[in-house]
Amino acid sequence: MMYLSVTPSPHNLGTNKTSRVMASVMLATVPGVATLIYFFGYGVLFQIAICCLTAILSEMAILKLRQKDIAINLKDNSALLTGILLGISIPPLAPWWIGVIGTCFAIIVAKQLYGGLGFNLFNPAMVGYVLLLISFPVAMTNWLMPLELSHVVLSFSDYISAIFTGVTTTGLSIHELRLGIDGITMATPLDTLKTDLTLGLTSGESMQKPVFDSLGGIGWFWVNIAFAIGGLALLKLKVIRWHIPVAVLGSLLFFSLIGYLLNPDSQGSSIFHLFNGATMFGAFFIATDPVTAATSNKGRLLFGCFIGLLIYVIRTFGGFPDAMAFAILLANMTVPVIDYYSKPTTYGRGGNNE
Amino acid sequence: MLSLLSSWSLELKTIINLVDQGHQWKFHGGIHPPSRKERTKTLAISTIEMPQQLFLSLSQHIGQPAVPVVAIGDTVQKGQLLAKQDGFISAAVIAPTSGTISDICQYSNCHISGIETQTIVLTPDHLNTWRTKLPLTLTSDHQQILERIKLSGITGLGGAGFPAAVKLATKAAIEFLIINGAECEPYITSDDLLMQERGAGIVAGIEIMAQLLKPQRIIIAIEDNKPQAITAMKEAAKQSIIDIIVRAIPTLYPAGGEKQLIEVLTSKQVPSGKIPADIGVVVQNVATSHAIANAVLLDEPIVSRIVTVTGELVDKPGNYEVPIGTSIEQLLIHAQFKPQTQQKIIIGGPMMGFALQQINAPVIKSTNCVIAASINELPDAPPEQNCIRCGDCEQVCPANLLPQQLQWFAKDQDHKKLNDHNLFDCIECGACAFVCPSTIPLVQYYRVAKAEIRQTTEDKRQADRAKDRFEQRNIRLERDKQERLERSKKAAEVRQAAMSKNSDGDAVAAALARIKAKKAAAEESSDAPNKDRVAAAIARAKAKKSAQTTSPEPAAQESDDIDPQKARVAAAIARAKAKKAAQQQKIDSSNDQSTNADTIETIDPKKARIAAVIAKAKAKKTLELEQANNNGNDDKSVTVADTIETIDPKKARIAAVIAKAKAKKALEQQQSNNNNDQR
Amino acid sequence: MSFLLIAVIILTGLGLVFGLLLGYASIKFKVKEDPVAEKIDLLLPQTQCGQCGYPGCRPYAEAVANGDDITKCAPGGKATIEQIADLLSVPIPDNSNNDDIVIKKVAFIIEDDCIGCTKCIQACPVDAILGTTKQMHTVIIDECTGCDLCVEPCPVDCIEMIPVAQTTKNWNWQLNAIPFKQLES
Repeated sequence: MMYLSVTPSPHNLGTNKTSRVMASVMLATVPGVATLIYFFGYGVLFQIAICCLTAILSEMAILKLRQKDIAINLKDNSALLTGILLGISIPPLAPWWIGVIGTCFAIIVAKQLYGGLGFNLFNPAMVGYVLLLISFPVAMTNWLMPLELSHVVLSFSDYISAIFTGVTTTGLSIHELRLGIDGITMATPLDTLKTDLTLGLTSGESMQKPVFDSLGGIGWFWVNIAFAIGGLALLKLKVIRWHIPVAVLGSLLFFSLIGYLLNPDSQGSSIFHLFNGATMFGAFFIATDPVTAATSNKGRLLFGCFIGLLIYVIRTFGGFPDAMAFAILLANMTVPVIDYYSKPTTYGRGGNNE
Repeated sequence: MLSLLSSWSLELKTIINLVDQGHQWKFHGGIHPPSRKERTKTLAISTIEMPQQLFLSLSQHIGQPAVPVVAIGDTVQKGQLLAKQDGFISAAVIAPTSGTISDICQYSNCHISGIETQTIVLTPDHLNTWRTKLPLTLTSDHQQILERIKLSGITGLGGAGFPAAVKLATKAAIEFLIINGAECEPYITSDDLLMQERGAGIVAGIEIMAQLLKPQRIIIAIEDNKPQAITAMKEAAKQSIIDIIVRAIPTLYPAGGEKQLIEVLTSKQVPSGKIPADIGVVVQNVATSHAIANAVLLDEPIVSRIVTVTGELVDKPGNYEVPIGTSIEQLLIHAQFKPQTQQKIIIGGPMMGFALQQINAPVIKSTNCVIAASINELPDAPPEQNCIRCGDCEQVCPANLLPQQLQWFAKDQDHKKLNDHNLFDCIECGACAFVCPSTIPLVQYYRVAKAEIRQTTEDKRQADRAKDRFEQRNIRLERDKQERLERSKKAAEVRQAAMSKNSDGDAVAAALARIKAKKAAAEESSDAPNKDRVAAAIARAKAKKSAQTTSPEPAAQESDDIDPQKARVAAAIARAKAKKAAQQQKIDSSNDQSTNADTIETIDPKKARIAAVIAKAKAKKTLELEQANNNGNDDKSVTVADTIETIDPKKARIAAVIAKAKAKKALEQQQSNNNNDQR
Repeated sequence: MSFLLIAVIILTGLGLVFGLLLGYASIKFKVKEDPVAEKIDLLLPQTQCGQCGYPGCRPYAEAVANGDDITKCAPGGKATIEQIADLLSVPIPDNSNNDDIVIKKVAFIIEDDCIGCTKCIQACPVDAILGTTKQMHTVIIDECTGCDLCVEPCPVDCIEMIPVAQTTKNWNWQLNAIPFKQLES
C-alpha cells in the first residue's frame, strides 16, 4: 500500500521560521548586553534572567488559561525575547519584583490579552517598561553610574543581595551606591542634562560633569555602538530591513540638528542624542518588532520618522529623561492609519499604463 | 517615484528603443527557490513505449469541455479529431495514435480536485498510422492557418492550458510577441531541452505567429540559468528569415509568469482585468510555438508533449516525449518509480503545481512535469502559526499585493475587503507562502476565498434572476386572469346582443369578438423571451433524444402509431409503475429478511398512490366539467364556477397531495428500515 | 434667585434652539433607506419555494420585517439566517439547524416518462420548465432554483431533484475534504 499525500501548493517552503527570527534577535543583543555588563556590572544579567524566567512562566500560565498548545506557542521564542528586551531596559540594581511585575504585565496584558503573538497592537516589552516607569519612577530611574566612576567595587554576591534585599552584602543601599566620589548622586547622562537645564545651566556647562566624556555619556556611547553592531548583524542576516532603523536615526539626527543649531545652549547635540540612552537599542531592536510596526516599506519609513521625531520632542520638551518607550508606543498607535494610507499599488492598477 | 521616472524617460525614448538597446526592467518582489533542475537538465528527450490504453480527457484546457465526435467502437487514425471545441474558449482533442475507441466515460483527470471528467478511452493498435496530412505553408491564408491551429487542439503548453488560437486571433495591434522560455519553476526542464534540441521548430512556429500578428518586435525570453538553451535559440534565431531577439533574463521566480515576463521585457503592466493583447503584447510558450509549427507546416496536431519526470523516487529521471493520455502511473513506472509508504506526486512545479490524487490520471496537454517526491524532499508544511506581520510576503509578492492583510480578510471571509485589496489580481505564484516564517498556507486561503467569492456572486446573480422571473410570472398570471375575465364578459355580451338583435348584428359582433380573441392570443404568445427559450429547449430536447436513440422503447413506439397520445400516457404510467416495481424488487432482493410485514408495507404505499392518482383525476374532471359549463353560461355562472373551481378541485387536490405524501413517507420509512436491516 | 432664573432661561433657550436645529436637520438630511422588508428580500435566496409557509420570498421578507421567525428559510440555510440576524441586530436562534449544509439541487425531468401534462409548468414559480400540452417538458437548469414545487404535481413522478454536480469549474478548493487515497502499489 502506498499513500499519495495531498497538500496545497507551494510544496517547497523557505527556511525562515518565526522561532529563528526571534532567536536571531536574541543573539544580536549579545554585544550590547556584554557592553552593558562591562560598564554597569552583572546586575544587567540578573535582570535579564529574572525577566526571561517570568516571561516563560507567565506565558505558560496564560496559554494554559487560554487553552492553547503551550509547547508550540513557547517554541516561537517570542516570550523569551520580550523578557530579554525588558531585562535590558531595567536598571541593573532594581529590586527583583520590578522585573517580575513588568514582564507579567507585558506578557499577560500587552500580548496575550490582545490575542497573543501577532495580535498585540503595542510592543509588549515597552508596555511593561512604561508601566514600571510610571508606577515606580524612583526605582526605574536608579541607573548606576558606570563602574569606572564608582568608588565601591561590587562582588557577584553584592548584586544578588542588592537585587533581592535592596542592600549589598556590605550594607550599602542602592541610593548610597549611586553617590559619586564627590558625594553627589549620579544620574544617567540624559537625566543629568535634563536636570541641569531646568536648573538654568547651559548644555555646555552640564557636559562638564564627570558623567560625560568627550563622546557623550561615559559608557553609554559604547553601549549604543554595541547595540548598533548587533543591529547591523540583523540587517545583514535579513532578519530586519533597513527602513525603520534608518528612518528613526535619520529623523532623530535631523530634528536634533535643527534644534541644536537653533538653540545650542539648551539642547543636546545630535551626537549626544544618537548615542545616548536607548537610541540604538530602540532603533534596531524595539522599533523593528514586526508585529507592532507598519508593514509596507513606505509605511515603515514613515513609522520610523515619527518615532525619531517623538524621541527628540519628548527628550527635549517632555518630563522624562528618555523617550524611546513612549515614542514607540505612540507610534504603534498610528500603525493602522499608516498601513491604510501606505498601501502599495497593485500590479496592473498603476493607471499610467497604456 | 519609479513610475514617474519611467514615464519621464519614456518621453525621451520609446519602449521599443529601450528594448532594442537591451534594456530590461524588474518586477516587484520575487524569490529564489532551490532550482533542483540539475537532475534532468542534461538528459536528452527520449520516448516511451505506447501504452495499452490512452485516456483523453475532454477538459484538458481552460474553458468549455470539448464535444466528442466519435462513438465507442470507432477506429481512428493518428491525428484524427476525437472531440471538437465547444465555444470560443475551448480546445479540440486529437487521437495521439491510431486505434479504436473503447469507451467514453467519466475518468480521473489530471486536475487538483480529483474530480472525474468525461474521457475518451483509446486502445492503440500499435500501428501508429497517420491520417492524411494536408500541410499549409507560411504564406497560407491567415484564416486557414488559424483554423488549423484551432483544429489541432493546441493550448498553452506552459501549464495554464489556455487555447492558443484565441490569443492569436486577436484583432489588436501587437507591439511585442514574447516567446516564453523562462521556465522559472524549480525541477522542470522540458522547455529547456526542447529549446536545446528543437530550436528550429520553435523558430518556425514563431514565424507563423509573426505572420498572424505582425508584431514590431519578437523576443524569446530565457532565464539565465539555461545557458545551453540560450545558445541554441540564438543559433536558431540567426537562421530565421525574421528578426528575433533572444534575451537572457535574471533567474528570479516567477519571471516566467505571463504578467511578470511582460514587465521584465517591456516595462508594461497588464491592467487589472485586461489581457496582454490590450497593451499590444502576446505571450506564447516555446512548446506551444513548436506545436504550432508542427500543426501548420506538417499538419501534425498535438499528439504528444515533453514531460519532465523527476524527484527522488524515480531512478530514471528524464525528459520524455509522451503521448497525450498516457497514465501518469505508466510514465512513472517507465522512469523506475520506487514507491514508499507515503509520497507526493506533484504535477507541474513545486511552487504552483498540485499534488495528484489518483495515480491513474492521464498526462494532459498542460502536464509539463511530474515530480515523484519523497516526504523528505518536499515535506509537509509545519502547522500554521500566528502571523507576526513581518511583511516578508509583501516584499516578495510579484503582484505587489498585501498578502498578509489578504490573509486576515480571507480568514474573516470579508469579501468586500478582499476585493478592495485586489485579491483577484493574485496570480497564486506561492512566493508569499514560500517566505512566510509562520508557515501560513497563504495561497490556499486565497484560492478558497476566490472560490467563495465567485460562488457568492453567482448565487446572487441567480437569486436576482429568480426574483425577476418570479415577479414577471406573477404579473403575467395576473394579466392572464384579467384577460380571461374580460373575454368571457365580452363573449357573454355578444351572446346577449345576439339574442336581442337580428342576424346582421350578430355576425358583426361575432367578427368583433373573434378579432379580439385573436388579439389576446397574439399578446399572449408575444412573450418574446419565452418563445426563444421554448425554441432552445425544444432543440435541446431533440438533441438529447437523438443522443438517446441507442435505447429505444419499441413497444411504446408501436402503440404510439395506433393512438399516439393515449398510448404514450399509458406507456409512461406503465413505465413509472414498472420502475417502482423494480425499485421495490431491488429493495426486496437486497433485503433477505424481508418479512410479511414488509410486503404489506410495500403494497400499502402503492395503493395509496393509486388512490391519490384517482383522486387527482377526479379533481381534474370536475374542473374540466366546470370549465365546459362556463363556456355556455353567462356572467353569473362564471363567478359560481370560479368559486366551485376554488373549492372543489382544491379539496380534491389537497386530498390527493396528502395521500401522496403519505405514500411517500411510508415508502421512505420502509427504505430506511431496509437500510437499517442491511446494516 | 435671578441667577437661577437666567440659567434656566438660557438652558431652555439652548435646548429649544438645538432641538429645532436637530429637527430641521432630520427632515432636511433625511437618508432614504430601503424598507427593512426590501433589505431582507435581498438576502433571501429567491427560490420562491414556499417552504417558509409564505407564497414566495417577498412575502416572507415582509413577514420577517413584521416580526416573524427568521429561521424559516430552508434553502438559505445557516448563512441566510446569520445575514438576517446581522441585518436586524437580533441573536441567531439556537433552535435553527445550524450545521446542515445546503446542497443545491435542481429538478430533472425524466423525459421518457413525461406525458406532457403541463402541471409542473404551472407549479414552477420562476418559469424554469418549458414545454407545452402533450409535449415533453424540460427544465432549464440555469434557471431552476431547486424549490421542489414541481415534484409534487407530477402525475407520473417523472421529476427528480438531483444535486448540482461538482465539476472542476465550481470546485471550491476544499483540500481538507480530500481523504488520503490508498492505492495498490
